[in-house]
Amino acid sequence: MKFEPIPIEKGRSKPPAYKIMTAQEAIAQYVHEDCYLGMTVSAAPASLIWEMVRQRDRIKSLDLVITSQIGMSSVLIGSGLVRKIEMGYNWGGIEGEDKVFRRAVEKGIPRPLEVEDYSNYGAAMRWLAASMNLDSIGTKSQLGSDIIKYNPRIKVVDDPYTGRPVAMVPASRPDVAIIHASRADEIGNVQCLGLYGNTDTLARAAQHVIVSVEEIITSAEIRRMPNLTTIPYYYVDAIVHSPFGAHWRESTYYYHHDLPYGLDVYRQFATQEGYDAWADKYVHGTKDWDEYCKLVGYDRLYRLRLSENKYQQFGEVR
Amino acid sequence: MTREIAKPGEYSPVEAMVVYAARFLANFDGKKGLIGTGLPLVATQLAKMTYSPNMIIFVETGQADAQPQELPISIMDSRLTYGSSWQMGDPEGLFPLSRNEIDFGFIGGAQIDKYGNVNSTFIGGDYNKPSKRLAGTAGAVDIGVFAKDTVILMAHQKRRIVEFVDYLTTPGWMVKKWPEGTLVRREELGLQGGPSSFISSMGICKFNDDDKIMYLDKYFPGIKPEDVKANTGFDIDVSRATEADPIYTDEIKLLREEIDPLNIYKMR
Repeated sequence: MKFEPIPIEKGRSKPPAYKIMTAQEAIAQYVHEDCYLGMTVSAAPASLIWEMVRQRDRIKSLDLVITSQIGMSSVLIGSGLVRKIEMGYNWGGIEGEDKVFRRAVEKGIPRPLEVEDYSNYGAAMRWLAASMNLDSIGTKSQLGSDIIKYNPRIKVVDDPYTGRPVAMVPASRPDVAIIHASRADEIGNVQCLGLYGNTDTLARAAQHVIVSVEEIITSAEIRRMPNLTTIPYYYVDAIVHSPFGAHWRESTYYYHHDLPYGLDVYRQFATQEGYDAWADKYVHGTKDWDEYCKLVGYDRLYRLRLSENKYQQFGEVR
Repeated sequence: MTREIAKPGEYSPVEAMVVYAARFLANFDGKKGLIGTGLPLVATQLAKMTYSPNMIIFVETGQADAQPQELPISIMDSRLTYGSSWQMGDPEGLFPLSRNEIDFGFIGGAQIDKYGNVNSTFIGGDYNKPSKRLAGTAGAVDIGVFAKDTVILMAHQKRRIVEFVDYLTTPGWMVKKWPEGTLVRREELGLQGGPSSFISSMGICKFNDDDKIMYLDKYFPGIKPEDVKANTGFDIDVSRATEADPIYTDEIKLLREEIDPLNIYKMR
């Protein structure tokens, strides 16, 4: 039975219905023009990002909110989809300088990008606040920093009890959250093995939640180890089955970071023409994630899996 | 066994910086450190194998008490997750910092000033129209605000070590009090800790007890105090500086053959 999404108000639970759909269906259903889109810090939701880029003519514009991201926000920025980014960090990590981000902020190519800086702590507290249904939350982080000068949404107030300064950050309630996780059942209970970042707080903060996963498992398997569940079904709108769905980034217990590919991507991102050529080949040139994986090569992806399994396999006892 | 001394020229300035940083971490053996991404991870890996085996590694993505068997390529690398005794989420991963449980933080950056303030946001122009936009802070602000001590690692170049940062990302000793933006001592905002040391590719800098201005404490073999002065963007006091102990070939061998054989971190 196909789950027919119903319009819901903020905070209203979603039913325990069959939620598996394709990335194409999930993005078409939930991501619209001027969407306020949240993306996690843990595994990269690459298959969902690629699909948004394929649908960019319909989506047109997004406001993005992240804590820290490597690569993924810049795939969106290079496509011209992002009007504004609220962030703690957006760069290439080990792959180096993020020229896509730089071009957008410094030169407005392919379109001007407004930046709202927070510290990681400040950024992460915003989803925590929303997940508790607060309008703002206080932290001592960012005090003393120019972050406060250039971000008028951070307000320094005196603590009503001690009189000491505290930086209040506004709750962030994304229209849609996109998340990549390890596994889920058909009704949308989501589990993360290893690194889970802010999958839990982001899902609670957002109105709609789309999760891509490495594996679909049974509800009985979910119930064997419920402490691994970071998102219960009633926050989730769509589950997309995307094996290797974080490539070129890593997915703990599944496969390793594809550094040679990542370095090559960043070399191409050095110019907008290079970005466009990469996107034409790997994103617009493939109709879905499976085609992308075939283009990259499943043999390569399995080598990344072997390289991860060298350290540990889930369920293995040592 | 006597250790063979490596001569300047047999290692790169960045390798020297990483080796001296690893030695410096011996001060924190048995202590809890929150390690930033990039070269701090490399120096930490070397320290864990040599001078600071009991250091307790935390990273901001929530891995605690990490024991990476191989050099992680980022703080999200599963090499940090496997072997940790605790994996937290986010922002929980930063709670040990805000609870003042972290003895030292270890960060990089793009620009540092004489008060130890670090900039990782933009260089030149203004915030809305920067000449060069950078990554943003990630957890470096949180580390600089909350850790009991902060160690900063950055290549030594005149344009990077300045009188005052273009944008104050991570608070050092003299920070901004908002809404006015007056320059005050960090203690005035209730911030503990502060940067004790800045390790560069030319030497180790510390901060005066009274006015908290940076001075040169050690210069590396092959480097003269005048070289440091010439490569610093403000008039740095080098009068108290002495030469650092030499680098040993075994330290460079460990870096090149075991820690980063593929030169992923481009140290050489």
